[in-house]
Amino acid sequence: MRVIRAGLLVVAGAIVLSGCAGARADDEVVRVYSARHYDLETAFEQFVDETGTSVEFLYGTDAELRERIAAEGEDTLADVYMTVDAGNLALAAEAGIFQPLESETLEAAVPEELRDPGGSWYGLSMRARTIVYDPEDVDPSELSTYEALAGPEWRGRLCLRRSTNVYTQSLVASLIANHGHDRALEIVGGWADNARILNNDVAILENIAVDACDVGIANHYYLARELDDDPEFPVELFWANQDAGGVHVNVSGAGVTAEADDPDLAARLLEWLATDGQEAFVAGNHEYPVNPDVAPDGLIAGFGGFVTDPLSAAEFGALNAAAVKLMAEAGYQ
Amino acid sequence: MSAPDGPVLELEEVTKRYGGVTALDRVSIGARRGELLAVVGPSGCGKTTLLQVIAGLTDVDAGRVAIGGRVVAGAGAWVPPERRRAGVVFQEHALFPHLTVADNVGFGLPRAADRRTRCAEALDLVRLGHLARRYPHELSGGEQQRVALARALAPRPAVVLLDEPFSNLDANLRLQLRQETATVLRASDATAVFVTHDRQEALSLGDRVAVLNDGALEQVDHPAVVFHTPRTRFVATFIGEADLLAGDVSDGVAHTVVGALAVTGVGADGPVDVMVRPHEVVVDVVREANATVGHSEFRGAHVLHVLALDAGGELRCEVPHTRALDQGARVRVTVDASHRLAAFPAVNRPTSSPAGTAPGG
Amino acid sequence: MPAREARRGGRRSWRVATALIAAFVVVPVALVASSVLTPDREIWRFLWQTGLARMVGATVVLMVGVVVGTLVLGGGLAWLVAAYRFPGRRVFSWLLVLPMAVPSYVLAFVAVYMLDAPGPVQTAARSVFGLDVRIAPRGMVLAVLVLSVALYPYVYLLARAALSEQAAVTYGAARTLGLGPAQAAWRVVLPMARPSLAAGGALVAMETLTDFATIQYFNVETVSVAVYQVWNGMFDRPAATQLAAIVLVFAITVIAVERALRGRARYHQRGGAGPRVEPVTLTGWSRWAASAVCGLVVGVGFVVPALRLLGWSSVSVLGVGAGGFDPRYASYLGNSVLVAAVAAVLCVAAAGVVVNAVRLTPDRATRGLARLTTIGYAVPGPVVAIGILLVLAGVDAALDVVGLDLGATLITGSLVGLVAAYVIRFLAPAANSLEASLDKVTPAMTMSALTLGAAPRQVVQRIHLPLIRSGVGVGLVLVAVDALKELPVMLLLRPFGFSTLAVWVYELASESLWDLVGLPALTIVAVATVPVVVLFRGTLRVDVDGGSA
Repeated sequence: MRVIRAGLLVVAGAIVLSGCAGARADDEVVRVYSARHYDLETAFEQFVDETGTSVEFLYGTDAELRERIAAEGEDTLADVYMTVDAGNLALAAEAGIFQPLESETLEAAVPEELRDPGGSWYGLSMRARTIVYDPEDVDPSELSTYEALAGPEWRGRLCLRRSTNVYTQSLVASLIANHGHDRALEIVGGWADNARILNNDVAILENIAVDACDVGIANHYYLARELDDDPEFPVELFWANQDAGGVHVNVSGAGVTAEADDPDLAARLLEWLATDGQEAFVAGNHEYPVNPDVAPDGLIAGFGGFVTDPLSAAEFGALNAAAVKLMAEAGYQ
Repeated sequence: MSAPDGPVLELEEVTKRYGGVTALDRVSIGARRGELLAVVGPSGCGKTTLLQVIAGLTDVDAGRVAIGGRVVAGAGAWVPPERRRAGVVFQEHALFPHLTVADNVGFGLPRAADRRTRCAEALDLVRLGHLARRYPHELSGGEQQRVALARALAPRPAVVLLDEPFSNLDANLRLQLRQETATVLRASDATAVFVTHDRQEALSLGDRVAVLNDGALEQVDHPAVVFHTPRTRFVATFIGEADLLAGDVSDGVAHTVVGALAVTGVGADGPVDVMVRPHEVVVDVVREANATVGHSEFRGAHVLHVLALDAGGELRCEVPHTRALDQGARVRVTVDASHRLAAFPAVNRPTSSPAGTAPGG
Repeated sequence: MPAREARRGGRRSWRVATALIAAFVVVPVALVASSVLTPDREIWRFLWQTGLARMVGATVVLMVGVVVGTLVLGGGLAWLVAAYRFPGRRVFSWLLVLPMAVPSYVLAFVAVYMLDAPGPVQTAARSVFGLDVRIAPRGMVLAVLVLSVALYPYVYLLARAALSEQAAVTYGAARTLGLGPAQAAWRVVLPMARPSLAAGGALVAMETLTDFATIQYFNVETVSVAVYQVWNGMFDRPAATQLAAIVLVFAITVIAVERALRGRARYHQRGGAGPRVEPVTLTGWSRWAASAVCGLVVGVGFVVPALRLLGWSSVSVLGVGAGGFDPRYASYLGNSVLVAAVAAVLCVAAAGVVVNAVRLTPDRATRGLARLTTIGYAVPGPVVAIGILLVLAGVDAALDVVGLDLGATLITGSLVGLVAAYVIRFLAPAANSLEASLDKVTPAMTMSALTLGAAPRQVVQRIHLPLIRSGVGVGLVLVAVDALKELPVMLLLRPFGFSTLAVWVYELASESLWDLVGLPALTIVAVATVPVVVLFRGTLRVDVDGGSA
């Protein structure tokens, strides 16, 4: 008996102890479950300074956070769910995680195609996944589309990111949406034959820089970061599919959760990020702003203008599973 | 025995099974206050199980165990080992390595006022008071075993159980420690049950000797009785060297090839095997010979001769080394026992007449 | 009757406590496993089409490869150090266990960094030697190599223990019968060391099976990787759970094989008072070869990663590179320590109850329950995590009914779920070290204490605990280090705003943010090194005269 009593005491103590490490009282706080982990405190610090509302973060991957919010149900502490991929936004909306917002500010700041028609979520920054290449070994005239990279002339010269990464999956999803399953399978199969598969975009860029491959597909801001560090970085950017529908673009966005404690406060954060804070928000990571009144930062402005594939976040989300399956079928790791 | 000091320990029809094996088969035995009961038998006979049952380290399947008049096992009762007041001395002394000798000995004593005195007493009993502050690993094997004994005795248990406590020691030490232990036990008036596979030990130490075979109790009695008048063949051959001489008994006398022998232990007349021990066999070269000396075994003070009887069969005899015989010598064999010899009804032999001997253990 | 009550009171609470702990461990896992009972044909077809067969094959190949690799490396090195004399033997004998302080995912990303086309090795090859090499270091072979180097210390430890206790005497006997050192090793020592090698191999197999972070760097996809990917990439918990069931099947197979190989050997330390045979002094090139092999292994498994991390750390600490010193470091460090400490204490306490219960009430039921409590080690992290979430949700629902609305605090606001998951996962190593220590306390000692009048609880307090102090210490350290390095459960169950060094390292490494990853990774390695050195340096070091400690 004493053993059991002692055990219960220990457990109770642990709960109390760990409770202290957990949630604090609700003052003016917005809690963000965010999949972004690019040093974004600076942008939010401004929000805190300007409004006096503090912001707390829980980081994770898109899917983990979504699962978590779903599991927590009505007890969730999340006020805002922020992702790095549009597909996740669509799926979250479908799962009822968001509550629709009616905000003129947001509707004005974020173009229609970059937000949910029902107002569940809003894109806050844009990232283009496009072709990067080694200017010494590749002439820009040789480049055109993503699809073309599946051709035999690129065998052994291509570096691509793993199939497990959400950016790759969304790109493949867009291929399926644009070309249908069979053609997409052909393309991805060609990629798989041609490419060495690397862990992340930084590895892709670095491999190109040392001539390990000639061409790759990466998110634009990774190149921007490298150029930030080293303006002489020997890799250049090419806007893919400019004559064939537009370069693949994704948004990082957010929505207010259905069970948020203070939806208005959360909405204010989103509105701020899309307007007053937009510049700071995107500048931190060299992303493109969604707000047409905000100009991109100098470095990426240097990449030039580009035509984008009209974003359909719903399609990224809906086709994600198909994309994963397709990549497995095609032998793309 | 319902004497004024009734039995301190009582086992009644105790049975214990392990899977398909019966370790104890309806064993009934008791020990009186101050008695030293030696339990002996071959390996696997159940003697360790017996101790465990008494100590409460294992339960019984049938029967009853009572200590100090209180039923501790069986008949719906169960007293855990820590409440039974049965001290145990194990084969591997099992002293607590992180405690001093004094703390080991005092372990079983409640925080009573006389704890230190009692501790000192127990250590004095085994004459190791001077080692009180040592640690077990600093003691020799013999000293460790003595401390274990003192530790078991200190709380004044109702019964002390010793499980082959000397088998880990070398021969000389064993003999010495054996005697000391017996002395200590008697000096403290303890009731003890002592388990061993060594028959010499059992015979020399026990007030009574119990012989176990395959879980069954074959005989329990004073050492002399068990030795001279074993109740079964097994006891006869286990407790000492024995040869079995064929004979025909009538009216308490068995007629054998070496003469007429007074026997006990058989009811009806008929063919029997008479148990004869080597030291009871007498040889002389003077009278008419009826046997030839075969090979011999030197045993220091004595010599064991194997004698081939003319009438068939063999007997062994033990003679002092001064009277050793040569191989091939012709001798007359007789049996000289100061007591009636044990005899067992013969098996598988036709009723008529002595056809020789059946050599035993 | 009062006598019967007495028996129940003393021992039953130990049995009940063990049963409670077993239930605590089993229920979350069972909840998840039970979802397998309703298999969804859709999911299975989907899984099959996305290459389930390939993943299962990869899992088998990886496990077999790593087990063989660690047996050869760990067993071979243990034998080398025990049986031969060569320069540096004394110091290598304990240095060889240092790679245990480097988490396998750290070793993996350092390896990838070093060996990748832009990395230092290939760059040097190109510039210094003029070799035109630009390969991408991926694939099964490299994965097996890296995991073998990361995990061999487990086998090394167990092999050293076996060699120093049980095998020394028979080895000596074999030598006197004319067998040379190698022959004696092969024919006599190896069979005797089989239980320890089997245990080490099983441990390694489990680690490999449940790992998903390390092998992802090499593009190897095992079933555990698939579990995690399906979860994250396809937003599909039911499919992930079904995959997890396959992992469980593998785990059970490993346990069964180990049990079969181990036979009925137990781990009682015998006196071992036989004569020790002098180690053979190597001469000529072989002595330098021996030193070189040891040096290479320690270098690759510990020194190179540590130096690389040190280099990166100095960049961030001195604020030279892009990252600068990140102030989040301090809070993550504190969090890591807090979780590790709480998990260690609870684990060892629970393990203490179980181990002592088995000693005090050695019946089949208690032993079976005790074995159940250790299954958590074999269950993949995500499975445990989901199970815990389900349990907590259930508890919360129950409490709601009663009127207590803990809700968010319970599920996401506190460490309860996380610590509970860690206790489930790490009960096994704690129990193993306590058990090994308790083996020193013979059953006769326990029985003596009982017959001298001590109630079971007092026996534990006065006899068992003082004598197993070293086991308690080892257990605390092992669990704390494991918790510090752990990833998957933390990723799923950490409370709001709570992150640790391990999670941070993982995130930084997957984005190749090398300058930032140095300091936190180095911290993990440094913290893990201290107990490894303290615990094992004494027991592993060989004495000057040649005998093993």
